[in-house]
Amino acid sequence: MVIKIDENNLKQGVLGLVVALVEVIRDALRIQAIKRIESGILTDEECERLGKAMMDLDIALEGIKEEQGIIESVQSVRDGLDTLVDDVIDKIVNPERWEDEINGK
Amino acid sequence: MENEIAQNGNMENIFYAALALHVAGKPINKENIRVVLHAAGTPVDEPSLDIIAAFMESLKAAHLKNESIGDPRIIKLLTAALSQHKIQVEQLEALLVDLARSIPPETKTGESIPKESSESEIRSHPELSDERGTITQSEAIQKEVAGESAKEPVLFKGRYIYGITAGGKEVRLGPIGIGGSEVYTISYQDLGAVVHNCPAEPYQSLDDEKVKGWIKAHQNVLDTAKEQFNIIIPLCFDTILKPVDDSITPDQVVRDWLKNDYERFHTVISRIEGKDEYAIQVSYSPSQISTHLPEPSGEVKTISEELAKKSPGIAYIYKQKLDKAIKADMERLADSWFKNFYNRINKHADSIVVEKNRKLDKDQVMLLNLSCLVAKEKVESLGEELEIINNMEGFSVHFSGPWPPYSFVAKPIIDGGKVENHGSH
Repeated sequence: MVIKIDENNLKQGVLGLVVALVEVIRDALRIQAIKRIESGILTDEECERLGKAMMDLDIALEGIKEEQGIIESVQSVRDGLDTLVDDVIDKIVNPERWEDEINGK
Repeated sequence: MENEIAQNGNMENIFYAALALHVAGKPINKENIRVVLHAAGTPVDEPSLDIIAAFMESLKAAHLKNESIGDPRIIKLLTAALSQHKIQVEQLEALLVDLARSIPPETKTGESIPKESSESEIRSHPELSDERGTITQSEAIQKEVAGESAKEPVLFKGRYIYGITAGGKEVRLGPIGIGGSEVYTISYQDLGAVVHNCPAEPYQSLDDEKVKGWIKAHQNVLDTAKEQFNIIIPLCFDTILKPVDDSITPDQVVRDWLKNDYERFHTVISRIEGKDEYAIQVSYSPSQISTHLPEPSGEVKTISEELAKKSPGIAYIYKQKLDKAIKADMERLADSWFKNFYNRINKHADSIVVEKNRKLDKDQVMLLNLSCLVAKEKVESLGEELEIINNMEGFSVHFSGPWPPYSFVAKPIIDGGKVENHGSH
């Protein structure tokens, strides 16, 4: 995956990368939060706080993306990551494709 | 004016003669150039010859070291020019071989060759050497055997393979190959390899346009061969065979290769005979397929109802769960569409290879990416089936072909000769 950065789009590049990573971490947190809430370990009040905090995070991230004009770059970083992960999983599931790559197909 | 034109043509010929001598490793001097030009049947222009001689002598003075002969660029330019002028290269080769025998290697004083040997050269090639003053270049071209185009010199050790055909006749397809090379077939029994002679290294370039041109030429040769032979097993771009050492000729390497895999090639031929490869991609637009969506599943319904009741924080959490449930529903749906379309397409195709789904722009999602081997008779019915799918709301079909059946031809197995196979696509 190539991230093209030059002086002109440095902000786009670095900020886009950072926000993309924050979004990935947020997604992981979200999964954990839902798990905790459903498990019944938390009190109602704690659940409410957790939910609200996640929601505020979402709103903040959307705001940053819009203000800095990096919605596109964030999406492209995430697409790139998706393709990368997809590739790796594909090779694990289809070992012959891995073999082909080694043999320089 | 006429004189000028004549002089330009002559300068060119003298230059080519000089190149030929250089490649043969013979001294480039007036005498030798005269011999070559006489043999090729072109007039010798003394003033131009003087100029070239002066040039060569000054070059020699400047570079006393031996340059490497057989620089592939020079060979390529020479053969391209020669085939343009339709001079029999076989005869020129023979001439060079004779020159090598009769002309002594360069002496210390750089003396020119003895007159007798040059005369014997001229006598031994009666077809090329004719009455000096009267023969012009156009006549020389007309004299050469009609129909047969020039053959590439044996100097090229590689054989670039486009594909394999059924049919044992050795045929020339003309200068349609990469770089304008002459394409012909080398046969073993009833199989033929469609080739052109090339240096024994892969075609590489940083220039995208150039590579595109090569690939187009490759495809063009395959198409021509298909018309001529009806069947062709296509090979990847840049498949070149060369002999591992000098004990074997390049042509023999190709024949051996055909012999070794004879059975397998015939199996592949019978598998692809009368069939072509077609590429099919079906995509849908998530915003437009609402008509095809079934009622929301039970899970989605319950979550939606719960959502209405909750406080903001909890509501957010429920919304996430809802999105997840909807996504799962969509995936199940897409799965069923995939199976449905695949089965319908399968009825019209002989074999199918499932390719990876590519990522598409914005509102399009690729559902199905297939390479299909379809018999000629079934193409129309396949097209009709795809038309039906295309007309479903929110779906679009991308159908292309016929392509050479690259996906249905396994990788070549090589023994003996060496294969350079660079998948530069």
